[in-house]
Amino acid sequence: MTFRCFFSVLLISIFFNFPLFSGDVQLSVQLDRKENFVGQPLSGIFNVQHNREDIVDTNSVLLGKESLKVEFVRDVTIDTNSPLVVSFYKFQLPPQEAGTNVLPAISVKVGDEIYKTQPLTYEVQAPIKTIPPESNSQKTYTPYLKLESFIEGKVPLYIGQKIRVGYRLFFNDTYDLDEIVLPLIEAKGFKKIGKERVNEFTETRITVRQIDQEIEALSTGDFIFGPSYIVGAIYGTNVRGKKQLIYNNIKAETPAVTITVLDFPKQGKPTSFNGSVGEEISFQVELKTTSSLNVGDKLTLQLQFTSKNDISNIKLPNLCCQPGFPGMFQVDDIPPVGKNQRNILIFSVGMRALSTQATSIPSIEFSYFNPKTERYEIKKSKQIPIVVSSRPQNKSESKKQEQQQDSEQIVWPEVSNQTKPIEIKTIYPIDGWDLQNRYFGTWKVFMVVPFAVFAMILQFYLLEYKKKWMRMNEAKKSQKYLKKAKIENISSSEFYLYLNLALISSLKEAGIILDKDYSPQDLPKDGISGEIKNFLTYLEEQRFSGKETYDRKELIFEAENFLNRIQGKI
Amino acid sequence: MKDLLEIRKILINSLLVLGFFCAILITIFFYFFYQSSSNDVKEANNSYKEGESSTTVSIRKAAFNHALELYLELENHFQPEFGNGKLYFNIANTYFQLEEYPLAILYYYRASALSPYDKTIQDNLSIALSKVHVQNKAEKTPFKTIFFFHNLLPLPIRFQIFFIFSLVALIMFSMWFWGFNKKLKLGALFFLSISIIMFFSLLYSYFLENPSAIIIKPTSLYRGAGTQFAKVSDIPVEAGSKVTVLQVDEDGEWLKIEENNTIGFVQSNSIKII
Repeated sequence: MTFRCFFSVLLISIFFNFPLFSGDVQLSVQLDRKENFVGQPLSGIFNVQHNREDIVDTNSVLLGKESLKVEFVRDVTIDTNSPLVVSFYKFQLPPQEAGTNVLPAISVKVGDEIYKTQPLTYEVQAPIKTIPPESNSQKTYTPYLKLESFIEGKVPLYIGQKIRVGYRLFFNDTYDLDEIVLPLIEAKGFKKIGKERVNEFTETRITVRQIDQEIEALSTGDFIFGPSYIVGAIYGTNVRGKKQLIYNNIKAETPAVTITVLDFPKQGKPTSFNGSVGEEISFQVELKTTSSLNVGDKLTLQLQFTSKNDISNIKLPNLCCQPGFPGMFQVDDIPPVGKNQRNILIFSVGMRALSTQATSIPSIEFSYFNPKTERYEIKKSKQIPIVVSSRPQNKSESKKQEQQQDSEQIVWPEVSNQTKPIEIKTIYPIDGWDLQNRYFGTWKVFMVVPFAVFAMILQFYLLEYKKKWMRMNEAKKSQKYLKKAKIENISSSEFYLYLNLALISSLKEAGIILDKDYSPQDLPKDGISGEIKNFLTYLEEQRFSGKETYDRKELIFEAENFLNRIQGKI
Repeated sequence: MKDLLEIRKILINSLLVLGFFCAILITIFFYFFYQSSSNDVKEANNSYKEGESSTTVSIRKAAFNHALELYLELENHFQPEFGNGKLYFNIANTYFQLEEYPLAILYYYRASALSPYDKTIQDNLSIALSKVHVQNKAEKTPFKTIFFFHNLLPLPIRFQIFFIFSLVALIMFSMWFWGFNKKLKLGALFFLSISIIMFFSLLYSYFLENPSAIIIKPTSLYRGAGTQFAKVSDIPVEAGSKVTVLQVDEDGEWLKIEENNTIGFVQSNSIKII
């Protein structure tokens, strides 16, 4: 009788499904019949999804503010691996008046907390219809298809937090599904962790298929999934053995589900926080290998996190960036995978000691966000003393060192504020000049190369110019002598002297002779110097012989002619 | 002609006045520059001395940290890469006192490169190396023996020798050119040859010589420029080790180094070039 009642209640629950998500506990209520009539008592079913450990207090059930008597029907286990069960209770209400009525929210105490359903609207019809007699087959068989969505884990959740979402499909026959819309499994906006999981079990004649998926929140916001539904048909075989449609267009629907993802508060966020979320987590670090080791040796740390609540959202602290680790230890490149043992999460982290100066495994800071208090909490592990020695050069030395370590007791340095003696020689009392680069001690001195080349080229041109300039000056001298000769009288000895000087100077200016102190007899016989030599010798002979048959103008003309010819060569 | 002489006279007088003012300005500039820098230097020196004489660890640390801060500011401002190395020595000492031995070793090597015959630097360097259990490797090769001047003379000294010898050679060549004395040519050639040797020594240092570097934090040697490559050895290169830099990648993130005849790549944040 109980079973019959149970299944008849399930039959009409297709259209009335109001799950309320609050943690792991979900409540829903349905009325047995779609059509209710005046004078007819109302019966319904009320189911609670909860942890097996949490007790549903049936005495605490209230319909609105009044006590409601419910009768336990049975428990249905969802999954052998899951602690969740669905408890079914039936209830009955007195006949109601015709028209639209509201079934107030039903509340119940599950564990230590009280949960409520949503109020439910239903119709009560005035005239009582004559229900036609049902055929035998309809009496014994009715198609049943129900879809229910669920969330395992607390919502709202924070970025990086993981939850499991999915659907439960209740059915009593083989359905050919024409349309499947299950957006929670797609989980758009979330990261899917692993593949979807499908479990199926049968309770008497009802089969329950559970499809769920683990997802991780990636960004903040309200994510709406649904409404979700499936549409199917039932086929049978006729007397000829051919496929025959029995029920068509059977639809099961569940309302839309909203998952809210929040961002972690910025205020009070510790530097070590890397996205761990949980409640009342204790943290412990243990060294799993020897505490005496050489530089480069591997050591293993075990980080253990314990909590009564969910520990799946705990992340391993970033050890490489914790104070005391950089430069002293090198953490393995491969990130360790945490082992979840009921309420304990264990990470085994491998690392290598890098320096003899590492005297302890530093205190590790672990911080997490507690959604209950909405605050960050920080846990610190204790320092673990270790001895890191330099790597021995050869095997014998290594053995010796091992023996020494075995025989000697480790003496820990005393912690003291007293200073140690200075081991090194003191600083140089430097001054401002010690801060300067040495004069001509930088790359800039390479500038001397183009400077030297330029200086040499310049000097070469200067020398050339000097020679030319001197020649020009000398040229001016011969003209000067000739000018002076023009002023003098032919009878005066100065006339001959200047004439002589003008011609010999002009030869020197032209570079024909080296010195202007040449006498006419010393001049070369060739070319223009020979002609001048002859001219001056002739002039001298004439002058000293007393003949003096020449004309003054003629002599000056002749001398000018010589000068012009010589200067033309310059 | 008279006009030309007068112009020349005015020009010479103007140049003399300008030179005089320039000399005054340069003197004033150097005076204030010296004063401002010497105040910081004095403060840093005093802070270091205070650290040495302090009786508690906390006061000592605070004093050495203050001295280090000032010394590093001075280094950043003056960049005495071609100086006498005294500032580097003081920075190294301060790092040593703060137990930052790899950085102390780096600065001792920098000081030693500028003053290779300074015994104080060598002594302190040995102590710092012993702290990190690293040996001071001084290898002798025929190349180094032949070109002793290249390795024994610090870079700024080689620059100075090059400059002075080039200048003397230029002066002597010039004098010979203007006909002072014919023997000057021989002297000029001698000075020129020395300066040419120094010139090539300097070019070798700049273009061909692989720079040395110090590992400032223990690091693994990778087979390629990236952590995705395998490690050359499980044993990391110890901090304070002196290595040779063979190559720097384009973005300067990874350096190819040689350490104890092993070649590998290290990240730039774990190494500093001397």
